[in-house]
Amino acid sequence: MTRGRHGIGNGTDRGAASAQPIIEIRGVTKRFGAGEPAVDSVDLEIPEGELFALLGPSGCGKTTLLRMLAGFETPTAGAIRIDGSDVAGMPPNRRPVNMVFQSYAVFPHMSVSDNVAYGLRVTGVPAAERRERVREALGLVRLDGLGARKPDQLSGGQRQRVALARALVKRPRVLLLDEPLSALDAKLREAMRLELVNLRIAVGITFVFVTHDQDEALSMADRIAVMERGRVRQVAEPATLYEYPNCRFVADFIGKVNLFEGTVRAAGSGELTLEVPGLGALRIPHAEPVRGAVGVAVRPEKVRLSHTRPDAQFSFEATVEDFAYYGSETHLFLVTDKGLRLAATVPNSDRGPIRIERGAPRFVSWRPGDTLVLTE
Amino acid sequence: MEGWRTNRRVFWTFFTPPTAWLVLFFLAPLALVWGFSFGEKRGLVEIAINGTLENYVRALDPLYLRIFAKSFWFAALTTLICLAVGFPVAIAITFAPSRWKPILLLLTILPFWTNLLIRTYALIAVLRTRGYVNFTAEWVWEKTNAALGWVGLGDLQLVGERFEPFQMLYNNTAVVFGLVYVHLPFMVLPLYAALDRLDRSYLEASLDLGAGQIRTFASVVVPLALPGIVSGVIITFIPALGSFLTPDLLGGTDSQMIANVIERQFKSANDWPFGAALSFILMYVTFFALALRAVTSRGRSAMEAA
Repeated sequence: MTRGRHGIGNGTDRGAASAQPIIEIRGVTKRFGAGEPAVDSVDLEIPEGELFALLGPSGCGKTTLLRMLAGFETPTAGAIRIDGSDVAGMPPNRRPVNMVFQSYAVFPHMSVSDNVAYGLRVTGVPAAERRERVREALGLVRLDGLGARKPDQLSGGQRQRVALARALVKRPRVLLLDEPLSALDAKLREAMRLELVNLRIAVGITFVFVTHDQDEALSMADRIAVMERGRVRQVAEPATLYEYPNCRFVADFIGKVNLFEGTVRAAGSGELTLEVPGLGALRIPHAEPVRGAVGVAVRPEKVRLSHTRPDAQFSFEATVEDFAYYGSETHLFLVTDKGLRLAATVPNSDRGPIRIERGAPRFVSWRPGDTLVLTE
Repeated sequence: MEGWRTNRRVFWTFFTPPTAWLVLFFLAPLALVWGFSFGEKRGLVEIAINGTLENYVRALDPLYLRIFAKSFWFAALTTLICLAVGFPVAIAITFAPSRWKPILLLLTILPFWTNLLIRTYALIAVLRTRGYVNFTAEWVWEKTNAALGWVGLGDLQLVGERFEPFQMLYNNTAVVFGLVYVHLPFMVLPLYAALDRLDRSYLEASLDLGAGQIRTFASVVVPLALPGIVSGVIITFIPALGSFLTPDLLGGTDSQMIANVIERQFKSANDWPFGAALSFILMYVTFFALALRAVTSRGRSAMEAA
């Protein structure tokens, strides 16, 4: 192992990624016994230096996929290439990846230093180099001076840092993180998000993390793969995922959404005319000509409210059924005159008492271009 | 209502019966025997407790010390073999599919359903000169001889002129073999309990960090299963040390253990004071071992808490 090749601290910018992806997943399927596969023909490419998130509800196969990268599970079908070489049959201890476990799995019978040094000791790194690298890794996760502590003398956040240092000291090509923030309390979690992003920039390697928390994925990841029942539904950057979801599941899973079922009445010349029961006809710009039944969605914060009929392409009358004040914004639950329910989020950017009351009539509108048309 | 926790009448109602039982049927007889150990035999059934240390002095005779040493050696060897055999068994049960676990655990404790005496006689039936091991060996010998004859090497007597049965009983090896057979479940169960509690992610973390299976076992599994190992060693060693049936039935003249001597004092020799002294020496040693264990484990937890 050459020192400093991808050593801690010599940050490489993620723009400088080579053409070859560090991780290539081709048609990977994993079955546990009979029934639906846990992971179902997944294809993914992760370029070097990316902070990549596997996002999905529990049981969607994201952890199984991560464990296949680590070598703890064997794919039933398909191939995984890490750093250009097929890792089929390669045991976990020979893969150029390291993992931070959800429970951290910090060895309770070893001091912090011994935990971090463990991976170097078992591979025969000389003592002098070992000490230097342990010191460097502990500094990187800001645990300097705590090397002599035992894990039970550390807070949850500190234990996580030990787990991070223990994995990073190995100088892996890819760091795998299984629900890295789920065991921390809410305040610490917020702080740790930014810290993980900065840590990735500092070490310059690829991070792949698993999460069920969409906020975590959106705020941290360069790209996100959304998984559902073993399949990858969409792979995109956070903003693309939120603004242009490709299916009902992704639209619903990422953020809040008003999702209606409608039909395409007419398509052509970059426009669609949609019929949504309870809303009536909507004419929206849309490049692809689609037909038949579609999902029609709009984000609550794109919904605009006014006291008078707006000068918009389409608007509906609705009454406020309920509302909740969140400090920075207010969430309104409206019902249209034709009985359709929808949610709207309005920012409380003006200081002063808000003038929202139940039963008040409002006009609802949004820009036609903010309408999402979902065929799947 | 928390009142019942502090109610004196409730406390005494629950406290008295088990305490009375323990005092009447355990502590009182024990105290009596302890008293006998400082006594002198006067006639056939009469014992005078006169505070003499003569029984203890007699117990320190090299003859008895040798038997004590031999007992410790047998018990230690038994414990060591049980640990070596029991660890793979415990690991196998831990990592077996969950629907197999109850069956495997049941098989582990199945011998307890049969009386020790019957199990020991069964072992004799297996190991004796005209036993199942020798029947099998003899069958193999005959077939080998026949095969050699068939290829024309019959005259060379390569496997011996006659079948010589293995002498497996009535020696020290038979005693240790019997002790291992009897005490193995005592080792497997605490080991399994410790291993089953072990978080699998520790093992995965070790593998992930570059350690092989053997290194993971030595550096992670054994240290984390240490409480189970210590429990297993203690509850194997103590009953093995006090065994008398196994050396009595499987051992030769040279393989008697201290419990055989004690038994003889109480029964055939009718020397209760000397038997009591031997019993208590054994008990003191056991207590000392347990106290040592308690002190070291307290030291360790105090160190961890610091």
